[in-house]
Amino acid sequence: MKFMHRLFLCALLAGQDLSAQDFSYAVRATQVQFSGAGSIALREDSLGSLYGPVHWNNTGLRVPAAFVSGSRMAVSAAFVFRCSKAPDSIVLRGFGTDTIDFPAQTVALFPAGGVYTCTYPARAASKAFRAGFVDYYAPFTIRWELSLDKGARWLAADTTKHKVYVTRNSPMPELTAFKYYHTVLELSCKNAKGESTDTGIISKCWGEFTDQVVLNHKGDSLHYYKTFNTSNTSLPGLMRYRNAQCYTFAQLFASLVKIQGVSRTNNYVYITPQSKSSPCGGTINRFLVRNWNFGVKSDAVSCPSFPYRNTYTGTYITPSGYVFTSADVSDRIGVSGQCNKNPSSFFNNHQITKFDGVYYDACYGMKFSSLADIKTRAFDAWGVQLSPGSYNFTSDMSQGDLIEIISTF
Amino acid sequence: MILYLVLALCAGSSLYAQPAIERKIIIEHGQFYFFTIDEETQLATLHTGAVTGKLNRARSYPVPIGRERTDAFNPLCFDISGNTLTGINWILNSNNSRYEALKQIDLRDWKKPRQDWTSEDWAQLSFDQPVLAPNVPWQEMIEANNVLDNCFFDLVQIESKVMAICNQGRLRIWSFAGGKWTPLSKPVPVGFTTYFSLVSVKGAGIAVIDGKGSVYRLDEASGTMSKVKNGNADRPQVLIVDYDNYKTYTLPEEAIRASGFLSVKELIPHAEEIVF
Repeated sequence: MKFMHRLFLCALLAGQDLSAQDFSYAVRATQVQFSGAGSIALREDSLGSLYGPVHWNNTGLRVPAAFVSGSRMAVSAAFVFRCSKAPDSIVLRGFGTDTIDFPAQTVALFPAGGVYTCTYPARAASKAFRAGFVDYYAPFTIRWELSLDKGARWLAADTTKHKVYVTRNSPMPELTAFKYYHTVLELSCKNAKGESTDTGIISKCWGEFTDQVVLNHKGDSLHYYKTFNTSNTSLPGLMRYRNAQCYTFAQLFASLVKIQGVSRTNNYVYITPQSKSSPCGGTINRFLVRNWNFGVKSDAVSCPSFPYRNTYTGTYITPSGYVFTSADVSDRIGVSGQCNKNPSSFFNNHQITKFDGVYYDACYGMKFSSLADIKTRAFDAWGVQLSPGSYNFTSDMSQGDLIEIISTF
Repeated sequence: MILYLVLALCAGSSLYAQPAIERKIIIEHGQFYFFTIDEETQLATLHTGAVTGKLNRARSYPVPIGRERTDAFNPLCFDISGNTLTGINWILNSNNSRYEALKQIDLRDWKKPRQDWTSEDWAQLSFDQPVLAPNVPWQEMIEANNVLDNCFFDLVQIESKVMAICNQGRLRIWSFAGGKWTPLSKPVPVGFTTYFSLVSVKGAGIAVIDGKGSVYRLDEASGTMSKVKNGNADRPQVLIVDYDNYKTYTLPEEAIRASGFLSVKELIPHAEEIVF
């Protein structure tokens, strides 16, 4: 941060006789800390640890602050003050974005190795964040001023810039996978800025997923199946490894909504084939998401209803794709996922969310009106395991249906 | 605390809290068996040793089975009889079928040094383990009501396989024998908000122990359940199921951890026997 140098006429500024010496002053903010009854404790993405109390310092620390709308932020700030003839105290005040200001306070100066330190103690802002609305400050700027003559005249001190998130309501309580991650606040408040209704928040948060590029707060891609065999299945895993299965993207979208205090039950939908026997035996238990190439029908005679057969030994899902010993059907680029043009697409189940009657598939950025709509628009085949080490497939989608198992995230 | 460290070393590294003993310790033919779960990978590690030996001397083996961690926490469901592990592989994974989650695994295949497979490899192996039976209790429950609320379940091996599952305050017990499922109870109302465990002692029938230690006994003739003991435990409990002496005990998990060096045999005097 630039060191603010000012050459002041101390005599004038301190109200002393004009024959007094000139003094030069320098003042720099060294630390800023936000607080308040409406503050939300943020977690860093990687391990979910809570950020410390300091939000800004002059050596590069930058941690966002988060508050619930309608609350007042409080700020405390530390400064280093250099002058050749320092008074015992000065007065500090701050002017924030949207006229959210911090009142003047007299603070003592303490000598510290040739300079003086002082602290603006935590003080609530002059007004609250607009109640009932999401907001996103990037930046929230505080222009600090000091006075050497008890507020008669004011001088520029320093300017600090901060990222501040404001949620519409208090976030829903944290649970096993739902945490107040930095990226969750960033994506939710950035997208839903200005919104006040549940439907508006849901709609705007959904906008994060429709271009199939979801980035964390650092700008790193969050991948849907960066590796075909990722076993990360919860939001903490997505936040840390940025490579995860469907559940995590459903949880991420639901989290962007929940962090705004939007309450919905039965919003988390697990879909899987209905446990129906195939005409050849076995239970239909797999589906293929588009696109797959259908070649030879190895079992056209033995199982005409599920004529395509792939075989495998051991672990056939590798980081780079499926490794079948023999394959009548093969994966092609089809429906793109988040940050991935060809994600894994051979599944027993899939996880999506449902808000107000609409199915949202955050993995692909697609919405569906019904389970049948999912089958029709997104699937290429059903699969059944007739013997160990193999799967048979049919492109006749009438052979099976999806069921949904609903819970609340 | 030392047991914490030992279990952590045995189970491998984890982002999450140190692994806890899953649901119960089984004693059979003078050996103890218990599982821990790596919360990040969802995969299980089997710990086993002589009942007279120290818990921190347990031999540990990764086994292709596991369970997810959700808000409605349901620990690993398993039972051991001889070399056979009967369990429910409830790993959350897009390739793991809940309908095929009931597994029967020969522990002799796994109680030996393994090559360095990744956790992703282990997960895939778990999906392909031999299916004990189709998960009809789950399927029937979903068909009755597909909205999960306080859904918990457990599976034990008695003369037959017995599975109990509850959802939305209704519990049902099933038996699998001769290749088919038979309901042992009508759906009975229960107020479970945490997981329960199925227990059975030879000749004494089937009972359910809830999170507080209350015991409910199944009357197989009428298909009804009645509470036979009130419990008031306020800390997580671990069962000690002693098949050698046909007894079942409960002990606070933290007491087992704190004991560290005690053997299972030494722990039993500190446990409360479930009598029914």
